[in-house]
Amino acid sequence: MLFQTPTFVVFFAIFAGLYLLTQGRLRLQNALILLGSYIFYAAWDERFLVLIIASTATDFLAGLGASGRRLSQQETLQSIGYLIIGSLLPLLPTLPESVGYLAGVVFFAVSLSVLAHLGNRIDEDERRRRYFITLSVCVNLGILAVFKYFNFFADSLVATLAELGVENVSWTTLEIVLPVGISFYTFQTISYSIDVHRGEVEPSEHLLEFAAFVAFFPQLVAGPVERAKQLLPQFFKTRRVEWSAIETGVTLFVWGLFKKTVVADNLAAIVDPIFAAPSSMTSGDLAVGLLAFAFQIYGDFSGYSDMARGIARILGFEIMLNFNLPYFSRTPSEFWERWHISLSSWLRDYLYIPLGGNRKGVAMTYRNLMLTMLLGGLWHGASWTFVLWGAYQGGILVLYRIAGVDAWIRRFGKDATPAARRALDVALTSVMFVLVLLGWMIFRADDLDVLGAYLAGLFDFSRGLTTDRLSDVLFYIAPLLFIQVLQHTKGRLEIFPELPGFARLNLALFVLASIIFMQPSQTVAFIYFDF
Amino acid sequence: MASKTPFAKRLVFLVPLALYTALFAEVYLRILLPQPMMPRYVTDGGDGIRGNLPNARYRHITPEVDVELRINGQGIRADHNLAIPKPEGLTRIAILGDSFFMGYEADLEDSFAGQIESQLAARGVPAEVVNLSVSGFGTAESLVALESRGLTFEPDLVVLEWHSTDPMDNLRSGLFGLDQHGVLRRDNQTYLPAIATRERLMRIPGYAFLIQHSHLYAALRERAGRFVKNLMVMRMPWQRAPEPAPKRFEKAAASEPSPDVSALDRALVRRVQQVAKGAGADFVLFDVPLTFSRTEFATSLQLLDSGFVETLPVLSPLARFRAEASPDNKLYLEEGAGHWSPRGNEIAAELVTDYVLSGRLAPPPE
Repeated sequence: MLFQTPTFVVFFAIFAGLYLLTQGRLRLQNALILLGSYIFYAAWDERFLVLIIASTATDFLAGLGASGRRLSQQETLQSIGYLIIGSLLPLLPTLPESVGYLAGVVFFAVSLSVLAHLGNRIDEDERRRRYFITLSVCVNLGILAVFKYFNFFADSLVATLAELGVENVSWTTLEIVLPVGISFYTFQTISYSIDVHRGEVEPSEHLLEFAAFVAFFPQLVAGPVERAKQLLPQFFKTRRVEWSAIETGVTLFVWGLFKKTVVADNLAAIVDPIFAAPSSMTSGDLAVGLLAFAFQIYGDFSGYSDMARGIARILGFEIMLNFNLPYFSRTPSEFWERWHISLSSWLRDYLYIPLGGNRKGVAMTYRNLMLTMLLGGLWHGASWTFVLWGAYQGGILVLYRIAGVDAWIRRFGKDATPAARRALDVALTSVMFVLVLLGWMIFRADDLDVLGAYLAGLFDFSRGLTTDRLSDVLFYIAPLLFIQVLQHTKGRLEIFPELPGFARLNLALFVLASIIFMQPSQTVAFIYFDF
Repeated sequence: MASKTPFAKRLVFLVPLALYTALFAEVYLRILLPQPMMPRYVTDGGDGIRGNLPNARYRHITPEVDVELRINGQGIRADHNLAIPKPEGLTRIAILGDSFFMGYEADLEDSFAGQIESQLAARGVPAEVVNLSVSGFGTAESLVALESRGLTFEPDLVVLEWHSTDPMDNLRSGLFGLDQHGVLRRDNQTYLPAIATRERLMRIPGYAFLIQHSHLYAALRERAGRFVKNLMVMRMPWQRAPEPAPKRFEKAAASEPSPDVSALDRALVRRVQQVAKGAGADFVLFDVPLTFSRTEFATSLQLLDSGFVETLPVLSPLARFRAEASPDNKLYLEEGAGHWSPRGNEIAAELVTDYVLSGRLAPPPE
């Protein structure tokens, strides 16, 4: 269910009421969070709860094993029991059609218990720890590979073989729907297991709290990709619903709702026809289409993140900031410190740094940057445009590094006047924004043909630079830009409480009126649900 | 810690806050999102369904149009009462439909009905349009209107609108259903959605001013109406046709009526035809095409079984709309409720005019 729908309002009203009743009873409250999160996810498709449960059961055991402990029989039985019963409940209503899924669950459960037993038998501590971390990574990446990437790689292989003259190769493609949130929760559980292996986090000995951490509904389906050291301990501390948290949580939620329903959803109506038929658009239209998409995807994704943070805060949780005014970035490295922070930091900590980061010489640094961004692109989806987007992002990171831009900015900043620094910031930000727009063109194109047509049209000025869409785009992004300039000037995102009372009142009325009157009549799903 | 401010003091603060909020919203809408001011003056028609409020005069004001709607004493959009019985030598064309046929967002002379009359007059055919249309009508209500109101005017031709909203409206009205043999039966004698509420509200001083001038009222009314309509449909049996998986970034496709709903629509259309023919009038089904942009249209008849449509005389402006469409040419208005522009009305009327002049009208009964 989407946050901006009446269904979610009803769900959250009931959930919040029960949550209040369980205050002071931590385990009961955590059980409620788990149940509520599973109901939230099941509203999309109850069958894919099985995957979350499988990932949870695996990483509960893998986390314990990766810390160096031997698994107790109780822990293994608890995990397997949770896997089977947890999977049975959502599949029962769809029997006999889902009997195949049930068989899969039983097979998985048997395999997991055998693998856990085999791991337990490894005497050497370090080998045993590596065994369990490998188990976690393989299971989670395996789930991703099957449900997200199988068809992509199969089709790409067939196409490549055909290019090489090997015809008539048929490869079975799976009729699989992409489970919502799969890229988020698998990465979250992988990061947990790795952090345990590294000794940065204590393994959870409580399956209930661990399962609630994995499935926590505010951030389950579109992030942020939370770190265990940040979120998991919050399930073991008594939480109270407090008025100040409700106030700031609701403010965050409403602001996120504004970004999503007013900015993103209205811009979608402008963007979609432009990308659907780029060959029939003027250069001006195509440029405006990029501008519109830049704010559509920002409004959509950061809006969801804000709503998630707001809901979590109301419940007494603090989840990580995922966007920090990314379009004010001056360089690509700054952009990736501000955009989808949870993913970029995940890639940095679990891919870039283990590959060597910048510690193994210049050439290896560039290689590591490119590999990290390529995989980051692929994370977004099974399409060559995403891979190309990742390559593009890696490419500009490398180019900026070669040019030494970050270092030059620091040197310039030491001696320059404030006015000169500001002018430089504006210039660099403008250049960076254009580079980001070109990246979004690659990201948004449905396939390489559309990308080619878009690129050709964008710089084919003979088509004309006129467009009648610019005023509409500016209409929707102007209020957002105004607030963001304020936030940037003050150096803080949560500026609402600091505003004078009358300004606060009018801003609140403006945002609420916009949400009520400007959201499109048809609900638009979140872009990142596709990832 | 509980607030020490007495409730009465807080209430005193809340009242100006509420007023300020309403004022803010009104100004917000007027500046940023001017609402189409299209009040509906409908009432209990006396026969179980809605009717236009007799002798009403009101305006439709949108960023594109500023037009007046005048309703005669018979609840028909016309500047005079229509004579009963029908005068000798006069061709009467009854049109049954919703706001499209009623001529919303158009002056009378630019409306569908007005254009039919003027085009026929220009060709030397004295004709009068009996506009039985009421905003919000579906086929079910059109059928009741024809039987209870329309036949007294002795129409020579009955033009029944078919619009994409008809399946939902027919279901929502609950006026008709199908028995186990698929035969149309009358299930309810009345369908007067929100009429009683509206009439109570009209007795409140200032309400009439609000509905004509307040953008906030128009916006809230529109959203409340949509919400209630969706709620009513959710309570009805409504099976979704399987939807193709949407591509990345695409919205999901709209749902299509279930086979049961389509059967009801077919039965209603067929009954209107039978009633018309029984009264000696010709009958034609008129398609109001869907529009997606200034150059993209699709027929609403796709919501009816194609085999069924082939058994009916049908008029559709689709081909002419496509021929005339261009990015600079508005055949549908864009900043109100999406009705036909004067040129759109003109093209639609030409079809009826051509039909009448083709001599296909049934001869009047002896």
